[in-house]
Amino acid sequence: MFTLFTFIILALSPEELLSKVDSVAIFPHSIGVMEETIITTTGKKRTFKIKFYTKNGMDKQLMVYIFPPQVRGNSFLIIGDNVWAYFPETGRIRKIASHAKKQKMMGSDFTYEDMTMGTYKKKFKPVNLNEEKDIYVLTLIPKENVKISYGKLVLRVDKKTYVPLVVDFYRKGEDKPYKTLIQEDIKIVDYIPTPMHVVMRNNETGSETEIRTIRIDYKTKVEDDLFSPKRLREVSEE
Amino acid sequence: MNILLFVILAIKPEGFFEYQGEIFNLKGEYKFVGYSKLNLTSRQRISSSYFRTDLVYISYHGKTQYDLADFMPEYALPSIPFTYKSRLYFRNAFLRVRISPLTLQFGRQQIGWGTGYAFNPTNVFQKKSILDPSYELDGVDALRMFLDIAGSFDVDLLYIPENSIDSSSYGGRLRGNVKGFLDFSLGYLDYLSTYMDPVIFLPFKKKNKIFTLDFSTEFLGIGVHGEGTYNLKTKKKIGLLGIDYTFNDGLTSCLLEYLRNEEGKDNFRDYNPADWLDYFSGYTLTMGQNEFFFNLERIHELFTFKISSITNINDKSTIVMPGISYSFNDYTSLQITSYVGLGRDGTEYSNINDGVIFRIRVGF
Repeated sequence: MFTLFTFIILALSPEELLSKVDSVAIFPHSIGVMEETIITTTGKKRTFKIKFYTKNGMDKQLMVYIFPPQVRGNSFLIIGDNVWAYFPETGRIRKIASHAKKQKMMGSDFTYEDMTMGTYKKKFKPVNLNEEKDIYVLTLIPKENVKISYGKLVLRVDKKTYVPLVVDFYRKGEDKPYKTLIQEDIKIVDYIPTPMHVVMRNNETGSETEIRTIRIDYKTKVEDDLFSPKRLREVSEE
Repeated sequence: MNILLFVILAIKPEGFFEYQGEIFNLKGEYKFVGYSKLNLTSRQRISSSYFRTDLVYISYHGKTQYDLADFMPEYALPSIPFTYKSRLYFRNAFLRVRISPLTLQFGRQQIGWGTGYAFNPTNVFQKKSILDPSYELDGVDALRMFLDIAGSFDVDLLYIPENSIDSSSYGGRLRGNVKGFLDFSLGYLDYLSTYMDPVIFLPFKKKNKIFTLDFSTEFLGIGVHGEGTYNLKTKKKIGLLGIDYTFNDGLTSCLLEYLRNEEGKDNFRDYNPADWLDYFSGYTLTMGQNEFFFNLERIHELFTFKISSITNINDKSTIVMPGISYSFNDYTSLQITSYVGLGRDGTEYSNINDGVIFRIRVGF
């Protein structure tokens, strides 16, 4: 039995592994609160608390800032590749254009582009798969006609959970990773492996952004009409 | 009011305290005006209802009394006094009830129409400061209804009561999104607007009927937005077209907006005292017919550097506003903006002269 299991594991093609990695991230919906800490190059910290709602994996996301007071009520709605921002001071809702997705999201090391990446399969194709003791090393490059800042991603995937524990982001034409994502403290919440602690490190500047999941619930149903620019103002304020 | 304060304190207050100081050049002499502002927010969701109040107390000091004639070209006018008065008021105070597909909203609230950054011609009820267009606006007393219709479309109806039904403002817009690519709205407003009488220098009100349009989309990855109005009575149009772009470093961005205002004038020699008073009071958007706004911004960790300018293309006057903001900690931020008005005497921005504004805000 063990031999058969090992054979199946070894027989995993890069495409199959990518499908498994993506399938972990495709949960029907979630509601939760996370704490985001930005650590600047000089070691100064700024902390945000964000209430989030997701649907169809990360295809639909709504993030409402609840702390600190300066940004309370600011919110972002992501549907596929589209991003809208709401600013409570003026009551305005603005769609964010593609080029602006290179911007750091509220000063963090995550860009809007990182947040709209969705499943890996949507924008990347596997080109190489290696195996180490407890992990797979999967290399992805962007699919043809996909506009994305990254030229290559290298995923170090946990063999047990299929969660990418480390993801190196390479810019086009560069051979050193520009950013590194670390996912740890994997907990099984409602049968879904969930990284409770995520760090995005900018290897060029030394800044990093840490996200701790304070609360997450995959059971409570999330209304579909929550993810609509027309309700963004109402949802953000409440 | 004490009871009101008690109620607000009982509902877990949040908000901010802000101090602002401004040093400015008035007729060759530097003056100082400052304010302390406390904004207490209370909000509560009860079942499908939600209310929010922002109670503001603002206390001015320094040079609080002005003669508006000092900010105009010399017209041999009598003194037009203006005073910054300390006051207590609600910036927002509204109740929202959702009975799907309807959302009703009553009370003082943000209107939020328009996609422009520096100017919002479609938001005829709220006026932005040219020195800080992103600063929070005072709400408008309105009765509002949002009705969800098919897909990503909704209808936004508003009614702003005045002394009589006839003089009240009302209107609505259809808002929608097309395939995630284009946000747009089309609307109509019958509203009461205020103008300055050019003979007796007293405000008078008259009804206007306008069509409104706004959109936000992208072209070749560059953000494109615009908004405009067409006045059915005067046949005059106001339109804004803007683009925004973020450079490859992801930290530097710029925004350009062009405003065509047919209610403005194309020759500054035609500006009269009533035009100036309309402009100072926010009754008109700009003095000139063609204006151009530019903003360049760079974020460096806890600092944001920016330089913006507004140019009146007709009278060739400009106001340039370099600024910096810094986040001290999770609760406190500092913003410093300086400004200088350039141009020939009698032009829109030359009379602003120069000054520095610093603002420190602590949130709680």
